[in-house]
Amino acid sequence: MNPKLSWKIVTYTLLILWALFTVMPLYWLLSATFKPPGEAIGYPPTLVPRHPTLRNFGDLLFRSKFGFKSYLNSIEIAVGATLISTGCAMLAGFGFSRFRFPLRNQILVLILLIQMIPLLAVIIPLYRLYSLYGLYDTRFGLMIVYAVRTVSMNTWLLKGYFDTIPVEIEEAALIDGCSRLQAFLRVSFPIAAPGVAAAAIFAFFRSWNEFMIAMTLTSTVRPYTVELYRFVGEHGDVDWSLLGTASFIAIVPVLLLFSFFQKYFVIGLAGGAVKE
Amino acid sequence: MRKQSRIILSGYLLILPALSLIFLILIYPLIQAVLLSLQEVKLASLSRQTFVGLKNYLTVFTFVGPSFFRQVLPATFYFVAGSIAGQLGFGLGMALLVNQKWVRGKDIFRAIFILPWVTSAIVMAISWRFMYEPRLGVLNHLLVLMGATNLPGWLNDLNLVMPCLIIANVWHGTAFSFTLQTAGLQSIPYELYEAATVDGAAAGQRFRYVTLPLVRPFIMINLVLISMYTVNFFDLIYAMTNGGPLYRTEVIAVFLYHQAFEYGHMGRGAAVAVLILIINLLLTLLYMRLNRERVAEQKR
Repeated sequence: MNPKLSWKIVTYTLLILWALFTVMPLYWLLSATFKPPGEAIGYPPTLVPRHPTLRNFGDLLFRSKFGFKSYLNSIEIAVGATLISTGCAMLAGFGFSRFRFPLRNQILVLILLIQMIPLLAVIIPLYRLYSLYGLYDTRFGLMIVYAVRTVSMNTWLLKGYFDTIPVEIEEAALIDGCSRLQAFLRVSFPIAAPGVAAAAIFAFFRSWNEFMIAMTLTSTVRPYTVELYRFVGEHGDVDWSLLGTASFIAIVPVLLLFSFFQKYFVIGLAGGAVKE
Repeated sequence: MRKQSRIILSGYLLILPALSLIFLILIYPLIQAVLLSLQEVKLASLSRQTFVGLKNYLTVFTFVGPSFFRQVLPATFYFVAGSIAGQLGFGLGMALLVNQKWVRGKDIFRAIFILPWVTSAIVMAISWRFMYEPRLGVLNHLLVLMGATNLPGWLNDLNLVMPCLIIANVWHGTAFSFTLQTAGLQSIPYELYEAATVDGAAAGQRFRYVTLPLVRPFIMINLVLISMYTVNFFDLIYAMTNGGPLYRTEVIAVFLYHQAFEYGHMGRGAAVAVLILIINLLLTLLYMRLNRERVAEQKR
């Protein structure tokens, strides 16, 4: 099955073209990070910074209206949401996998269906409830909404992982004198660790990137996505080099996470779509 | 008997935190959304509400600026159709290309292709605004290099704005279709291709009679999922055009947001939310049917 040389050339050309198309917009914005302001908005645009500089980081931090604290808000909110989502999903996944109770299957299907409800449809009542009950503009308020965005899928994902672990292993631990909880923590949990990692990464990056809910439900404790949006809005004439720098700081953690844990990203991405 | 009830109780206790979270943040507000769509509630006085029946729906349907049936729905349809055609087409195409046995650097290509899915929609929107920027953007710079004198305004151009948004969204969403289709292709055992080759099938025939039938269920599911995702997609359009110019990109998600949070009519916004829910419900039913067919087909 050896393809013709011409087909090989066509294949690689198409793949490289798509890769360039994928990288181009991000590269264009992020390269502005290392250009002096004059060059970023200069004409003609330069593909590689002609006078590479790091001053934009200082400018962004000290001499612009960009709220640096928004990154801290984002970290706190995303980590909180990840803990809540993964924690709840671990408990529920374990419960669905190991215990038989009335309505178990019905609840499982219901969770799958609920996952299909877009938060766009409930953003108005959420805003109203949050305003009336003091959750508006709190980090905790955002954490729990973000956790809900991923908890259903993570429950299914982790149930799947626990299902693959034979009950006999846990029972052996029980006979050796472990309690039910110890058996779970010491035996099943380590085996399910890749699943837990995939769930946590999925929850984190979905929370880190979210914009619409954050814009609606916060005003002062806003995460970086909202801050970036406001930053563009406030400057009629956009300062592209500062904007590029702010975006650079925002997406680098996720890109690092992504490059280390690409395998788990894909589990979270494809796993949710094709369920039995 | 006592042990049995303890097991049942433990099961319920374990799923309780997840379920209460889902109930508080999703189910209860969902019921509220339906109720709110029948009330008049102003953003300025949230606790005051008066029952108005179906008036909100009537207002939405007869709204001018933008008109629901002549502007919002067509814009939504245009955006969704263009996006899913591009995303599925390129996603499947790239998955097929990368999945050929002899291709080198598979992992690198896959990592790059997934990048746009990992990036926040806001950064994405800013990147594309920078590309389309009439004076400083790359696109117009390239056009100048090629000798063009009449430069387009891209996002400011009434006829170009939607294609521009669709390109940005295809750029973003192809990553998902690519990953899903790769999973589909990898589920096909390699022996099938070998058997087909032994039987004398050419490359085109192998694609037509081996690959296509087996990835078809994945394609259908892919279609439904990205339709839903795109109908509900708000961030990109809001940050790139905010529905403009002249409502050309006022899709239903942005329309909802404007009604509720710009004009301050929460009830009217909730009515749009219910309409969006109905669209989603129909797509979900379709998805479940297709998924059942896929599972049944695999078991055969």
